[in-house]
Amino acid sequence: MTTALIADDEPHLAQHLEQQLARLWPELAIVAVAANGIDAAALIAEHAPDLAFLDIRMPGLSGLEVAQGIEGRTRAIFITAYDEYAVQAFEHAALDYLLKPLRTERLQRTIERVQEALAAPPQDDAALAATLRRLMGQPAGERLPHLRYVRAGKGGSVHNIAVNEILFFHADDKYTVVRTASDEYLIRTPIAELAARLDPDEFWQVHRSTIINLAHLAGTRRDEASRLFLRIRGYANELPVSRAYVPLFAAM
Amino acid sequence: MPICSPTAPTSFSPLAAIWRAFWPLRKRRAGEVGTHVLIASMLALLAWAALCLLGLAGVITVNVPDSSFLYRLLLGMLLLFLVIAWSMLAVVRLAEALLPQALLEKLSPVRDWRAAALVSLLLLAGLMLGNLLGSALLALVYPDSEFFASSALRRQLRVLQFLPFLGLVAALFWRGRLQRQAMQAQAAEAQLRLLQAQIEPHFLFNTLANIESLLDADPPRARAMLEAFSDHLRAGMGQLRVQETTLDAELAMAANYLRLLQIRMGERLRFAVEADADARAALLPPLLLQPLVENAIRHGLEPKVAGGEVRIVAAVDGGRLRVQVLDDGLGADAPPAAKGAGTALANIRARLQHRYGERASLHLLHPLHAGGTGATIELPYQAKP
Repeated sequence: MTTALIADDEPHLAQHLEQQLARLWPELAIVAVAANGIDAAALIAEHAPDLAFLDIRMPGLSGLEVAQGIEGRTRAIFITAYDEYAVQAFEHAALDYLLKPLRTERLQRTIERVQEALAAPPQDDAALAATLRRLMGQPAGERLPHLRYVRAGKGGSVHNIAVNEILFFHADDKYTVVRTASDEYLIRTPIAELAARLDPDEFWQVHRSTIINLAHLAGTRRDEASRLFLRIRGYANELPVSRAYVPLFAAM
Repeated sequence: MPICSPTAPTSFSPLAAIWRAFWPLRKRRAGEVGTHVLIASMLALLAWAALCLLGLAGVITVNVPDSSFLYRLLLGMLLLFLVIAWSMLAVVRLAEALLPQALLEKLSPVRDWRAAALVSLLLLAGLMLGNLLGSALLALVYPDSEFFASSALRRQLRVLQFLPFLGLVAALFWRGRLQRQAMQAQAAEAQLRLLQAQIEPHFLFNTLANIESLLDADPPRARAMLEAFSDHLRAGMGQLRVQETTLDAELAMAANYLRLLQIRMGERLRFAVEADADARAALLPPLLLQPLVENAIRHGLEPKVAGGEVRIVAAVDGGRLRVQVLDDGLGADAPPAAKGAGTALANIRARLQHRYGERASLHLLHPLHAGGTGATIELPYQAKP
C-alpha cells in the first residue's frame, strides 16, 4: 500500500487535502499529518512514507528544507499558495507541485503522475537536487569571496581554522559544528549561509544539515534501502546523504 | 481628494489644460507658440501691475515733480518686463529643444535639489538675457532719457545685485515644493503598502484556500471567514480615502484581520485588544497600526512553531495616546529576511514626523531573553468631537 504524509501549518488546509486524497485516491494511506517543518522532518524519518505533501511556507523548516533532509525513498510533492520562482522551477524540472486553493483536476493529474513514478523502478532524481539547490542557495545579491578561514571561539580563545583542515560542517540545533581531524568547534553561521560562502568545487552540501570537504572524503556506502552514506577520513562515523543529493555521487 | 496621483487634474476646462501644458519641460509640438507667448505676456503684465501698486505707495509719499517722467517710467517698465518674460520663455523652450529627452524628464517635474538648481539657472539666464535686450530696446525708444540710456552693462550688474535675494526666494519656493512632493509620496506609499498587503498573493490565496476547505466541512465557519475577508478588504479601501481616522476604526480593522488569521492558524494564534472609550475616540492618521500587526504576524508568530499571542494595548496618559503592539513570537531570533518590516517602520516614522514633528514617536523593543517584539506608538491625544 502507498503511504503518505501531509505537512501544512494551516489545519483546515491539511484536513482538506486529506479529504480530497481520500476521495480521489482511496488506496492511499495517510500515515501522519505534521503542522510544522520540524515535525514533518521527524515524521518522515520515522514512517518513511512513499510520498510527502509539503507546504513550502511552514514554521520551523520550510517545505524545501524538509525535502532537502529526506534520506530515504520518500518523494516530495510541494504545495504553495504562490511562489512564482518555485513553481517555474518545478515546472521545468517536471516535479510535482500543487497550488492552493486546490483544483480537483490538478490534484487528479498529480496523483496519476505520482502513481506512474511509483510504478517505475526508483531512480535518483537529479532534477530535484539541482532545483532545490537553486531555490535555496539564493543569496541573490553580490557574490562574496569564498571563505578561507573559519573563526570559532572555544574556551575563551578564538581559533582560526583553515577551511582545508575542516572535515565537515554539521548543523546542531542553533549552532553549526565545525569538525577537524583533531577537534570540534561551534559557530553560529547556519549551514545555508556557509554553503553559499564555500568553494563549491571543494565543499559539497550533502544534506540539509551537512556540508563535507571533498578532500577528506574516503568512500561511500549504499545500504539495502538504497540510502547513501559517506565515510570521511579522520572521522569514525558515517554521514547520511539526503536523497536530493545522492545524484552528486552518481559518477563516483 | 486625489491622493495617489497628486498631479491629477481636478477640473477639465480647456483654459486650465493650456495653463498646465505651459509649465512642464518637454519636447514641444508646433502650434503652442502663440498661446505660450500670450501666457508669458500676461504673467509679465501681472508682475508689472504688482510693481505699479507698490510704486503707487511710493508716489504718494515721495513727491514726483514730472508726471511725464512717471508715465515714461511705467511704460518703459512694462516693455522691459515683457521682453524679460519673452526671453525667459525663449530660453526655456530653446533648452527643451536642445537638451536630451532623458535630462528633461529629470528636470520636470522637479524632484530634487539638483533639478531645482538647474531650472533656476535656466530661468536666471532668461532673466539676464531679457534684461540685456530690454535695456537695449529702452535705450533705443527713449534715447533722450538719462534713466533708460544708462549702460546695459550696469543694468546687468544691478540684476546681479539682486542675486542673493532671488536665490533665497527660489530656495524657499523649491523647498516648499519638494517637501510637499515628499509628503504626498509618503502618503501614497503608505496606501500602496496597504493595497499590496491586502492582495499579497500568499495572504490572498491562503485565505481563499481556507474558505474553500471550509465550504464542505464547516459551512458556518466558511461564511464567517468570507465575511471577515470582505470586511477586511472594505476597511482597507475605506482607509485609503481618509486623512484621519479614529483608533476605534483602526482597532476594528486590526481585530478583523487577526480573526481571519486565527481561522487560518488555528490554535497557534491568540490575540487580545485592550483599549478604553477615551483611547478609542482618539484621532490619528490611518494605517499606522495595521503594518505593526502584520509585522507581528509575519515576522513574529507565523514562523514560530508554537505560535503565540498578539496584544494591542491602547491608553491615554497625560494628554498623550500610547498604542502598543506586543507579540511573543520569534523577536530578535527572527530570520534576517525581515526587510519588509524595516520599510514599514520607516514609513510609519516618516508619517508621524510629518504630522506631529517631534511630538510623536515609534519605538521598537526586542526583549532579550523572552523573545517577542513590542512596538509602541506615542502621539498627542486629540479626541474625536
